[in-house]
Parts: sequence; structure tokens; C-alpha cells
Amino acid sequence: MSTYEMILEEGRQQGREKAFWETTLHMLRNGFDDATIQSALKVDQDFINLVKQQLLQE
Amino acid sequence: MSDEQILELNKGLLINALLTMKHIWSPQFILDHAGLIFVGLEEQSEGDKDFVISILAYFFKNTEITREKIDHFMNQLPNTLNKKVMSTYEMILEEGRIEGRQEGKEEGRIEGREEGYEEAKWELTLQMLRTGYDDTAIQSLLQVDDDFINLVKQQLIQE
Repeated sequence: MSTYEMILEEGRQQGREKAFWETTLHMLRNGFDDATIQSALKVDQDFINLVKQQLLQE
Repeated sequence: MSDEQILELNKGLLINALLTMKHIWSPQFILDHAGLIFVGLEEQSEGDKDFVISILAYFFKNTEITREKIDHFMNQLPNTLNKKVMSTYEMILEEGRIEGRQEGKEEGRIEGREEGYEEAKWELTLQMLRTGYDDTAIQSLLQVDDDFINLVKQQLIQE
């Protein structure tokens, strides 16, 4: 893998993370419970807890 | 002020600086008239020579000149100066290369982020459709439009 491809991949991971983070945040704000979010987005509880921490800080 | 009037000032550094600034937008003129613009360099002190190098560094940074032309220009400068000027030029080139690499990295990262974001939205839409969410809920939760959902649905049909 070239350096450019590595950088592209790094960006891709960041983009994916952002999309998952934003959607989880949006669902939490709209009152969805953890189980529903886990089932709809295939994210784990640790990830949801991290997003919840941001929600608490707002 | 004409070049002749500036030359009459008979002050080496002043001449070097004024003529360079005067012709900064005509780099070809500077390259072709190194002997006229950079007069009296042999008699100048080390400090004065450093000043001339700063002027030249400014010139190199603000113009796009081929390597061949730079080499020709360097040859017109006194030996005591052209080695220093050359290493300054190499330094500026290297700075440009580093800057270019950094810009390339940043562009790659931005491109990757956009791709990853789009891929994730696609994946999430697919997952939510499979789980049984309707279009309105997906639109609201994922902030995607109808056209996007329809494209994802096409993939789902093909599976």
C-alpha cells in the first residue's frame, strides 16, 4: 500500500466514524434506546456510551 | 526612476534591492541582467551578501523559474556568492516539496473522509432497510434524501 493509499484509508476510517457517530447522536437525541441503536446501526455498547458522554457535555 | 538614475546612487545594496523590486514582476529581466542588478558584490561585506541572498530568496519564492534559467543566472553571479545563493535556492525548493507533500496528504485525507462518510451512509441505509425501517425514518435518522435511498434499494433488489 502506497503512502497516499494509507492516508486515503485513514481519511476513509475517519469519515466512517463520523457518519456512525452523527447517526448515533441523532438517534439518542430522538429518544431511541441503546438496543434499538445497536440493532439498527450494528454499533456496540462502548461506542454508544462514548456518544452519550458527548451528549452529556452539551 | 530609470535604471540609470538608480545606478547613479552608487550604493551597492540599495541598487541591488531597488532594481530587484523594480523588476520583480519581470523575472526574465532580472535573470538576463544579473550583472546590472547585482553590481558591486565582490566588495560587499558578509552581512551585505546575506542581505543580497535574502533579496534573491524573495525573488525565487515569488517567481516560477526553470532550473536551467536559475543555473544560467547563478553563473552570472560572483563565485563568492553563487554557492550561498544556490544552497538558498535548494532550501526553497525543498520547502516547496515539503509543502506540496503536506498539501497532498491533506487532500488525500479529505478525499478519504468524504468517501468513508458516503460509504458509511450507504451501509447504514442498507442495514436500516434490512431491519425494516421505512424511508421516512431513514431520511430523518441518516439525513439522506429519497434518491439516495432508492439507489440503495436497487442494490438490495439485486442481492
